[in-house]
Amino acid sequence: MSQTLTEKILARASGQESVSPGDIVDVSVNTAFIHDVFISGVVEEFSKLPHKQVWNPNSIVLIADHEVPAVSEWAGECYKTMLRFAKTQNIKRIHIAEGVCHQLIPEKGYVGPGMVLVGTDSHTTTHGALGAFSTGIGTTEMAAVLATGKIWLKVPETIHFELSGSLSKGVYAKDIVLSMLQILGAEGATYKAIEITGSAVKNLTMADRLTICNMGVEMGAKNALFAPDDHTMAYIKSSGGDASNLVNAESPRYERTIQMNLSEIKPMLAFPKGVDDVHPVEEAIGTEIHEAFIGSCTNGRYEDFVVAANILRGKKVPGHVRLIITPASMHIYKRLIEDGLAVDFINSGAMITNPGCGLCYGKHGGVLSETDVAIASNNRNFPGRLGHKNSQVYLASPATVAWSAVYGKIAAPDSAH
Amino acid sequence: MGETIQTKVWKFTDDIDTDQIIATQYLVNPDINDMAQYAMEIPKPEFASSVQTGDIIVARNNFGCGSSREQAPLVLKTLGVNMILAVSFARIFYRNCINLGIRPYEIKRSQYDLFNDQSTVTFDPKMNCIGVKNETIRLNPFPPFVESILAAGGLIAHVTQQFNANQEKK
Repeated sequence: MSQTLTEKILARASGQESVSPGDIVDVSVNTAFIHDVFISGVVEEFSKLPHKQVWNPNSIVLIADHEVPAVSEWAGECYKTMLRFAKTQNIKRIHIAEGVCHQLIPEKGYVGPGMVLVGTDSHTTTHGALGAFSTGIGTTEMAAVLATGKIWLKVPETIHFELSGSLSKGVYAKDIVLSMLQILGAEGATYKAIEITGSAVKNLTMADRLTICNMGVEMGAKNALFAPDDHTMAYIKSSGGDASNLVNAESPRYERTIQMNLSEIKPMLAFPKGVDDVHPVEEAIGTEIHEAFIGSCTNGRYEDFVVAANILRGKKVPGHVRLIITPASMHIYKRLIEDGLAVDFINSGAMITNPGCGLCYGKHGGVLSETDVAIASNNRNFPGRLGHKNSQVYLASPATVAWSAVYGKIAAPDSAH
Repeated sequence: MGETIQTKVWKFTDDIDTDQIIATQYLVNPDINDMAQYAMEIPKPEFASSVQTGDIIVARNNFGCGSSREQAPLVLKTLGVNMILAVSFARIFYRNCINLGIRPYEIKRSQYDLFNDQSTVTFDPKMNCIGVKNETIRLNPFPPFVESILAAGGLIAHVTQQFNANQEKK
């Protein structure tokens, strides 16, 4: 029929033939995950419910990534709460300081195409990259999911991006999603699904797709997804993810279709005003920077560091720039060491931190001062998000960040020529 | 018209994100009453100390965007806000409001323009409408399923009621 991929998944998960935008459906959850910041809140809310046991311990993932290593006297208690809850509920999927949730979940095979995933983090939209319906929820809602395995959802309208053409040199997946933000704005997809298809999709790696879906929420989207294809199945094969919920959509009916020719996309920046204040990099060239960050659930994957290392190798970052490298998981960190990329980064003057979310939410490991200007590969730059409310943050691709770090000021990623 | 309640308006503009509602550094505070004293510190520093129970927030577009932190609606609830009117809400914040028993109502942009910050308006709970400057704004009712969560006082109470009802059936 004419259902979108999101509608197909929600129909499957609510046991119906078909659903339509606006329907309220009671959906069975395949994977639910909670991170360290919200574990105490979830456990407290869960304890108010009459349910003594979670609905299915094998469907629950607990990840400590925001507060690692401990940044306050509170953090250690969060890990303990997590460990206690895992023990009493017989939850085996618990990962403390092994990586950022939005990298570990795909990496460990906790997501597969057609699944319904919910997590206590807004960037849970990331996992649509594997063809799943995936969205962020609050702590009270998570407590109810833990108890019942179900969640009520309003079936969203779907905005369709159809990608054609191929990316020019120096242009990356981050520039695609920043361009989408430029078109839709920070609330252009509020309550809605974003589905990405087109002839260009086959050339987007899983890392690219994770970057794009990660920032779906910055457009207000409920979820963002790519239809499963050969890339998806190859990834699932290596991660050991469950592909048994696979659904596909044929000629779906979208609310609107936006055509994007990737050949026309330039390297982009989100200016410090906000995620949707997007301009070509050339409009900010020469702006002095003090911190450069490559990492996060948006752009902290191995592929991102290969791009950055190829730029930074043999160069030295100027003294006024703090370059911070944060791999998104220990698995990626290990590969950086094994393949020598870590040495390239250190030789260029970078600091390499453990995997974690600290910098991206202004908590630790790179907090900005009042007069700091930063260029960063993460997903948010709201006032005060990375530190002082007057600090300035430009969001960019790892390549643009790396070149800017080399020059000590914002530079285009083709600065080599 | 039924019995009306006088209530004060706290007006905000676009894109008030959850970091502005309650900043990251206060999330570690285990005492929600304490944490609430820092609500809206960046956009409206006087808010937390002056807001009264029953006051309403009126915002423009994309209210509550940003992180999924439930502390954002929770600090507002703790300070006595149980109704928020906005031209649009961010999705997770909207759901969190319902789950905590706060009523998030969408209004039109022209209706938003009727409100003045710190002014007093009237709320008629029976008719579910707001009186502002000789105009009456009818608030759209929620779908029955959502209303049942709100009527229970939030999701925890609602899930508990359902659980108990199922036990009785057994």
